[in-house]
Amino acid sequence: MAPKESRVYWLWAVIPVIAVFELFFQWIIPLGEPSVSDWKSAVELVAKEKRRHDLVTIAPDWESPTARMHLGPLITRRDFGRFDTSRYDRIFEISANSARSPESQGLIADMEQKFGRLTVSRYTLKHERSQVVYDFFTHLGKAVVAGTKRLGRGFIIDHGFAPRFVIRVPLTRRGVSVTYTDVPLNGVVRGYGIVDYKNGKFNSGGPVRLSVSVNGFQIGETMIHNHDVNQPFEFSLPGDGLGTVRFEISAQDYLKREFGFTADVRERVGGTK
Amino acid sequence: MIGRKNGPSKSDHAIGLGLGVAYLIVLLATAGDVGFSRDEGFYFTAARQYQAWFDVLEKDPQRAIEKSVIRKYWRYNREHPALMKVLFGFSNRLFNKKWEVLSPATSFRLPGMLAAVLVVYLLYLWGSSVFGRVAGIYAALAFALMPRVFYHAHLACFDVAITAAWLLVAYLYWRSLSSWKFGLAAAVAFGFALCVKLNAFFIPFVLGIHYLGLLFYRRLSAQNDEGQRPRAPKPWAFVFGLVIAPVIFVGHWPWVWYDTLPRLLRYMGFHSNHPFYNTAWFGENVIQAPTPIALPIGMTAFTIPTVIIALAIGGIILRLRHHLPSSLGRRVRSVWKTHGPMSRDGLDFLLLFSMIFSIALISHPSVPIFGGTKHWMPAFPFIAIFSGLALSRVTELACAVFSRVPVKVVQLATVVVLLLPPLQQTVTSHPFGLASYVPLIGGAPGAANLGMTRQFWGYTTTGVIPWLNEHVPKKAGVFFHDTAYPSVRMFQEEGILRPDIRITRIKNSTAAILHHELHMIVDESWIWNSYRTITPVKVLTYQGVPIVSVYMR
Repeated sequence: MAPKESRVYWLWAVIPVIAVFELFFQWIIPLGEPSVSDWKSAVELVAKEKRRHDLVTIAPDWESPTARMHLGPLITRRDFGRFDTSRYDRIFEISANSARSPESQGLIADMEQKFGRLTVSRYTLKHERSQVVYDFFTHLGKAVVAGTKRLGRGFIIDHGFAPRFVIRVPLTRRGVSVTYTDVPLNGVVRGYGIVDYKNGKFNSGGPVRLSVSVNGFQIGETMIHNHDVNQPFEFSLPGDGLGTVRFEISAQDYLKREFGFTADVRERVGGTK
Repeated sequence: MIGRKNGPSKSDHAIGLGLGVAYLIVLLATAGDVGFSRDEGFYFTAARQYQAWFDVLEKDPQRAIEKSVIRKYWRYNREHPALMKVLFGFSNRLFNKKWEVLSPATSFRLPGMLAAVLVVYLLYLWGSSVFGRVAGIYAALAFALMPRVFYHAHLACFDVAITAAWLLVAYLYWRSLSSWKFGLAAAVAFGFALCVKLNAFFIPFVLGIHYLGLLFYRRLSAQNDEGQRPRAPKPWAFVFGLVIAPVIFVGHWPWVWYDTLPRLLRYMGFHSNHPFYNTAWFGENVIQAPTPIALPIGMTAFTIPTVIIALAIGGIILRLRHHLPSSLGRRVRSVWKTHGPMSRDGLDFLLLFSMIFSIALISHPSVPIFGGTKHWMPAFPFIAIFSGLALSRVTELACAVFSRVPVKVVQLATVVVLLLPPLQQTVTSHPFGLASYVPLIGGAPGAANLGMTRQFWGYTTTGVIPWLNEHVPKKAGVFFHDTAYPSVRMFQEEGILRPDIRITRIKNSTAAILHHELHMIVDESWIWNSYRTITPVKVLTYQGVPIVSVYMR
């Protein structure tokens, strides 16, 4: 056999190498699954260390169902359906096989402990937690709602397939208003609005208009489009004292569409997150 | 020239059938693990309905062929032809109702399994007759042990059946190029292929291109000493096919006996305007055109064991060498040797084009793509044939390395070693076949990291049924998410799911299951909102990746 021909001939040896590679890694891959005891130990640590304004995150994201099963009440619906980390001091990240959640990117862990295939890391967020003085979401029960009887709290999935825990507003022909009284007026009204993925996926329907007024005077208005993801709105409040804050939601194309929003009044402390 | 003029020997038929029967035994033994997919539920219903018509036909043939009666029994699931559903029904009638040797579900599934057996048998036959027995054995088993093929081979669906039909027609057509009798057989096979699934309408295009290529090639061929060119093969398959196939197709399907043309046009129109269903590709939910061109070829590479793909590529390169011009540089010729016999009747082109066509067709950005790899499964047998061919080159290498070991032993060892990865992947992925991805991309966890389709069809419910049986209160309602109603009823009929459990919507349910796919988080949010919890009580995983979650109110 000529030398060049034998070199080409030996290229076929790649095939058994590929076979061995496949056999080995097919055996290795399932060993990366965290065990039940890994999860139990990780959750025990989080339960012991977690404080009121701490957030629990899961990495990678597809581990979420398993993690939520083990975490139980340690991860609330509000935490799970958050828009940002502005309301939190620290993050407890439960990570499988060294994955990182988006919230912990760029942060350095001040605590890290391994439990088999899981790692529990604690990160302190760079910005100070926003001081929320009034939460429209939690005070929804005291609000006066006009234009619909089906408004309530729940999850809407946005166009990034992220779950958002919001005030769900079915859109109507004449619009919907949600009015809160005795709202502290020092600070800003900050929040998010989203159109649900299922109805907006083909970009059907125009934007949803959300306007905020205080004591009858409009302080701001925003348009939320179908594919908007994580676009906050923020409007300054007049100053001090208490007042009536009204959210008005309307859309030209209102049929079979669902809108959701969340908002609060917060003081600005060291910049927003 | 390759190919025995008289076709495979009796011992080849015996070996092929033996491989097929062995595969059937494995399929039957593992059928109970594989849950019922959405489409299977609809086909169980259709099979029963069509059987009811046969009962009417037996008792009152005149009435059975009345338009209103045909409409009553054959209207359901008219978007697909009837053959497989009729076979499902008769199999159920014989093997379950009459002889009671199979459970209801397995009896429905048997014809689908037999289609897989046919592929295994044909692959051995064709592979061995042109490239040798070792190549034929490897081709047959490589196909059988593709994890997703193994899953589909269990089902009362059409995907493996159309794969078998395509392979059969292609094989018989190739044989018909030297024998008119096979032309007749090819025509009959094509007629029945049309009765399986719409894909069959593309078969004449593929074979027609091949035949025209043959004519063109012969025209270019050098004349012999008597000034004649090689005779062109007669197009027996096409001639017979034009006459026989439409008769078989229309004849088998009572639905089109009336208003034939409008109903056939509506049948084709349904598929040419087929809705898009969700599928995930690198984290993107693909629900409308344009669909990613690379999706079919990517999914093929990500789901068929890499050793088979590597061998198939090697096999194509080996066969290409036969078709390169003799004026090719001496250096290239000295290094890139030919392997195997010369091709007869354009076999290489037929195999290659058959392999490429199904993948190329569905790669068009306007074609709806969903359901994993099933819609281009007719390409897989041809991938397997090329892989079998390349195996023989690898055994040459092995024989050279282990020159002191008997050749047969080395050949056997090579086949076994190179079948181990597909075997391992199939065994370890069962019954989660559609969640199976090759180690090259990190298996199921790697695919989840990349945002690939995790499953479809709601068949994985089987894994959580024991939990439901144990924990759900008596007569409780359960939301079964993506598992279709008739499929859930089949779980109950088989005695797998408690009969008192009711199938309900979320709002009336005590328990809810959720099949995890990218877009299904929307459905999961309905459960969260209704149950006011995000905490599942059970999560079924495969290689650590969540497949099904169960929630309790």
